Amino acid sequence: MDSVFDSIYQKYHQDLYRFLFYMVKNKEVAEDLVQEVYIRVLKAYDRFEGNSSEKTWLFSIAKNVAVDYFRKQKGWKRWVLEKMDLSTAQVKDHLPLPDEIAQQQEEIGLIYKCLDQCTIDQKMVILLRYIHELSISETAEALSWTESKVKTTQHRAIKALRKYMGEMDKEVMLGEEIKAK
Amino acid sequence: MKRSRLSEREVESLLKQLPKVSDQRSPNEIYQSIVSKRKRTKIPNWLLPGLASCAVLVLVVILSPSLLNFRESVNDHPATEFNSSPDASKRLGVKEANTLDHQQEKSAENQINYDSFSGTENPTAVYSTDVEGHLALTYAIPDKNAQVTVPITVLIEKTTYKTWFEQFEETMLKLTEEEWGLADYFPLNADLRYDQASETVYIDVPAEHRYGFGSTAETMFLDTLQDSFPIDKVKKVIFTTEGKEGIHLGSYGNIIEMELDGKSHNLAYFIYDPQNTDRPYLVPTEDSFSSLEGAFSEMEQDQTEHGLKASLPKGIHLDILNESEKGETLELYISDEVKGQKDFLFSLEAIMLTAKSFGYSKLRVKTEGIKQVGPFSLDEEIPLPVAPNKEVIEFN
Repeated sequence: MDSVFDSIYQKYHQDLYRFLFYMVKNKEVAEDLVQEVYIRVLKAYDRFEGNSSEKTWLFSIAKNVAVDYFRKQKGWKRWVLEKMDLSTAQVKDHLPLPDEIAQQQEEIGLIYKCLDQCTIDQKMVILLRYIHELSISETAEALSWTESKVKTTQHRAIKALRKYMGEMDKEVMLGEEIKAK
Repeated sequence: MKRSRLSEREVESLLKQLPKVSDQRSPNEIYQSIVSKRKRTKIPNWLLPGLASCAVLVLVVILSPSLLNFRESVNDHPATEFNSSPDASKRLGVKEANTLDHQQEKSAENQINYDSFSGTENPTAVYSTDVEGHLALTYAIPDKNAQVTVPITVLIEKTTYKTWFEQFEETMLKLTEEEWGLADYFPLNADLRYDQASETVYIDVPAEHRYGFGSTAETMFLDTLQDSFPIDKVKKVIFTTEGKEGIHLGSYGNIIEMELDGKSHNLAYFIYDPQNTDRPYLVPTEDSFSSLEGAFSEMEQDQTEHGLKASLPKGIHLDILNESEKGETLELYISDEVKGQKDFLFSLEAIMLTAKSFGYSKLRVKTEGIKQVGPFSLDEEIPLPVAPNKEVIEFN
């Protein structure tokens, strides 16, 4: 086995997988994407100059892989919509809740669902800051942003999540009231 | 009801509790999939045109006997008519000679094809034929590592009812920098206004702008402005921050205005090749050169501090035949060692853009054995590009 692969696998594999999983919310897709990360890393490893930390460099590659994936998806969906004249709502994915999430308390499930309402930028910042516990400067490095952009995007993301959690809560309560009647 | 009142802290705490989903596959399994994925070869770019050419050849082989018969039957009639006239054989002779010449020409053409490059065929720059019916706008876009700004020339359809500045602003919103392998930089986080009479662009940034965060951001911002406005239309940029005079850029202090220096003279072009793009970009140096020879010799070296690669193969034998008599056409001798060199087309384009920056408008290449590089026939004078790095944007 390649020593670069081995070392990255030992140190960062689950982190990279987790980041990609929460980005795409699909285990099979995340498995494919993490492989794509390795392919890009193995191609570019010789050129890694150590200007940034290995961890933020790897996250920056994972971020590019995820963005490319969404771009392809968007292109494909747009093509289907044009051909079939469907509305966006009809092709929106409804992926089942993974076991790990389903077993958690209700609020965790809700926040997991609310992540879908965030923009890709907001989601990336949220994941790097709260799941991977990267600092503001590490996040900025991984996303090739300024620290100020990280801060404002993080702020907007949390604000958006609070709003969606509130809306989602109302929907749940309405559903419960209808059931009770 | 409680959740609608969740505080920021509570949301943050819920996010931290999201479970640590993990990949259950063994490292060996993952490694094997990567190896097999890497081995799966892509269809090379040349394969489809190659297959199309093969199909054409097959059709020619199938149809040629009938075509020949058709031609012969047509030729039969004039031949009999010519025989009835005294000049007939002469005229027929001329006709045959012409055909022979034509055949010789054809075999010469075939010879040319043998001498052409098998590398990339599509040039990167914008040429005069591209610009017909289009407006070319060049934006200097930073690369993802903020080491260099890459001049990207966007071609958009020409309209008569909008000024160039309106189109410049509109197009700024449509740039897809990340798809081009560059940093997402445009649109600028600022209000722009153009005054034609004074050839000035007014830039008003919001108080929380990020162009002054660190010396790299500052330099990139100023470089981008220097190289994104055409010098024939903009001579000066005046800055304000939320209406107040000047912009604060850390190491530069408070800048009120900046003269554009139109530094596109005597520059050398290098290769910038980001990942995941199908072709490289040609990027000029910051510094200008006193001689074309000096520029060419520097172009053989990588410019690592800017992430740029050499644009000329090391040890290339390149002589400037008419440097002293500086005129419209640059004459160059290129030794045929570069024959077969992969991607020499990009080197030729780097030479052309460099020559343009030194004030030439055409290039004549003298060489032995090389007749064609990509779409350029070296038997003729080649008009130099209009601008580097072409991208086309369609407005719907």
